[in-house]
Amino acid sequence: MLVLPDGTQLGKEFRLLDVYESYDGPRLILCQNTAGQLFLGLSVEETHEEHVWLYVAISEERRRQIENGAMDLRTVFVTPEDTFVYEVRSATTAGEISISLHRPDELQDVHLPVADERLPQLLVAQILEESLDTVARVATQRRRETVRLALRFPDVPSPEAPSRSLGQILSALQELVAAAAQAVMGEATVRGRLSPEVLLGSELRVVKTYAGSFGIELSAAQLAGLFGDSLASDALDAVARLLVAGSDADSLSSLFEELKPRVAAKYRYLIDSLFDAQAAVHFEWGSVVDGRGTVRDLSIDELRLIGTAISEVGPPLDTTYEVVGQLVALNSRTGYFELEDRTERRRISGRLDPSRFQEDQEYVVNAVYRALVRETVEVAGLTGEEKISRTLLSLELQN
Amino acid sequence: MRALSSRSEFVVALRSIYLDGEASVTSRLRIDVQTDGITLSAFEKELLRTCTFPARDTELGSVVVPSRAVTEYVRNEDSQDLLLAETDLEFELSTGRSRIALRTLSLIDWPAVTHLSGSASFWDETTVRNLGRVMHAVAPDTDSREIFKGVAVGNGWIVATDSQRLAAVEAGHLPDEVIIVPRLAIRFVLGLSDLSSCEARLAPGKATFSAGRLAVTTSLIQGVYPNWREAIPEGEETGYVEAKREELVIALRRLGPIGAYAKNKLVRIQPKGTEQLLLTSRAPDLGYQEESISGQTSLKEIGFRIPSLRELAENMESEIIRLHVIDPNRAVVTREERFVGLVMPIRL
Repeated sequence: MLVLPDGTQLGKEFRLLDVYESYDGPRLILCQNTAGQLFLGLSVEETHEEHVWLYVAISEERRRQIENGAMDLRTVFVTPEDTFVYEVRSATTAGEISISLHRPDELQDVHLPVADERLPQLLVAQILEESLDTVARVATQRRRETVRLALRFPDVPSPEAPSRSLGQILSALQELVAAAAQAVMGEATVRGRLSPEVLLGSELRVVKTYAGSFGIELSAAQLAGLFGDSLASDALDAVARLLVAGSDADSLSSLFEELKPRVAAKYRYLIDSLFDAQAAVHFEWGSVVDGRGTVRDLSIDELRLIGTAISEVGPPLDTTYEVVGQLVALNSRTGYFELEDRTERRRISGRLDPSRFQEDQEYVVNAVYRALVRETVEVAGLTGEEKISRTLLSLELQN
Repeated sequence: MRALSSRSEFVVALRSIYLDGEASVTSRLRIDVQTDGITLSAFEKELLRTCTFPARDTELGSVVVPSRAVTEYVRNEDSQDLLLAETDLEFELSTGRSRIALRTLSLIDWPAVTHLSGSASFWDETTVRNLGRVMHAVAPDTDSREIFKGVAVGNGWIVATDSQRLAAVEAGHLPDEVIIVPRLAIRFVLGLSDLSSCEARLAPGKATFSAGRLAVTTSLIQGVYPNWREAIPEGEETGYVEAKREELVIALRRLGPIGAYAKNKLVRIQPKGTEQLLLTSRAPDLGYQEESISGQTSLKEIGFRIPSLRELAENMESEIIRLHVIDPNRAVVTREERFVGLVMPIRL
């Protein structure tokens, strides 16, 4: 039977926060006194007359380590942060409680968890689920669209994350949401700056991180509108539909058709970023709008399959076109060219394709050429700006 | 077909049936001559607009002609009278010293839309003017949500919202049925010559508004208007901004040079001492601008889109405007007699 050490030298008004293990009643618990001190409680002996528990005071940090499996249970009791472990004996009939203090070396080995025993990962997931408010509830409370990402990075102790990969994934997610926002506003462009309305309405902010895998909670920077609607919500709905489509090429194809090439490019960038980091992801979106929201898990295998599907059905990132115009500059040594497009009266510049231009070839500046140019959209930046690089493939003198 | 009319009346009629008084290059103009008058009609963007004015020496008939040519001809003339006549496939306008003959366009292609007739309800001048007070909150034409591109009229209220702001005016005598009138139609209603006698005729999906010589028939926006009352936060005020309305409007207008280029057209409002408010706008590549006005706030700072706050304040009437913050995660509320305004703050 569980009797919390209420009204003893451990404190008063104890609250039971979690039951980690149960067997004919709670066996491993987390509780807290009114002053906020956390205790891990372990049932060590139970007879008809009394029930014996060991309690050890723990910090929030140690709680996180226990819950994400980073610290084994034996270590918690043999290296107490407050030096002592409390043995709490409660009589089964009268309910009397007696408490004695022990140094770790005074504890009976048989009472302690076996070495390296940790909370099982499944339990960790349950704890996470229980200890965090549902993402939908958080979104409603904040009146902001809210996303939780739980990332599992290989070869990195939990709950840590490689900053480079994490930064790239967050950047890719933000760019995807912004591109989706532009598409749902009906003003999708392949490249170029995003409007201030799109940037404002789609901006996500990291609100907190949480333990487990590496968990990040993001919320829309702006509040939902008067009726719960928002651009961020519409954009995240589009993102959710992409995630739900998985590696189904037909579904992806029709979504790309609807959401336009910028979204396809940004989605590819996100999937590539996750795959490059070998980070399996748990994506959870809670919405202010009733009926919206999604939960999606993507394993490394799924990321690979999605990447392959996008390559099959996604729009090409390169386009090649002809330009007729005056050659403004060409330096085969530095590999730079500049042309003035006759039709659109604009200057285009870029690099020479090194396999097609040799240093000894001669070209006439100011003469009119027909040029073949390859334009590549490069995904970069958080500013909504696309980067376009151009490569000159051929030049043919015009009469 | 034939008629003799005053040129100036013809010009005024033309101006009144086109948005901003200007026919586009592709606009068509229908001219109907009746026994004692002429009706000019324009049909664009699902709106039929007509203006009827007196004429004499009439022979009945109808033609459709290109608007722009007619408009430019009559505007550039300075004679008093204008003679309209139709000959074979041509329509002729003449002033005595000059004339213009135009190819007529097919009457059959003219849309089969007519003004509604029958019993009408009367909208008084206050009602019509109140339509103008909420117009700023109508969503722009680029918005994908049709329902927000009009003004909801009925059930005692005139309401407009784009979901970032809302303006609602109580107008008790309106019928229970809520209709959503497109923004463009409202603009024409506001331009009716005699606002004191506006007649409204309704049919499913359609409405005709008329006053004096002018009439406009429009399709109504279909759909259920959201329950806007639910968007109004309830409870105790947790914070406020209070200012002299006129001062606030002027200050927000004065922020234009920087505000127009500020990120998200943002204005920050902060207390300045105990009796003043500091309004600041900052454009990253340009600079910043500050305006001080009389007022108080209990908040450390709050941000709004300049146009949203300015237009709300412009369309209110009280001397003092008080913005109530009830829930920091929801819209800010302002009220005055028979008027409720909501505006979403921008999170800083």
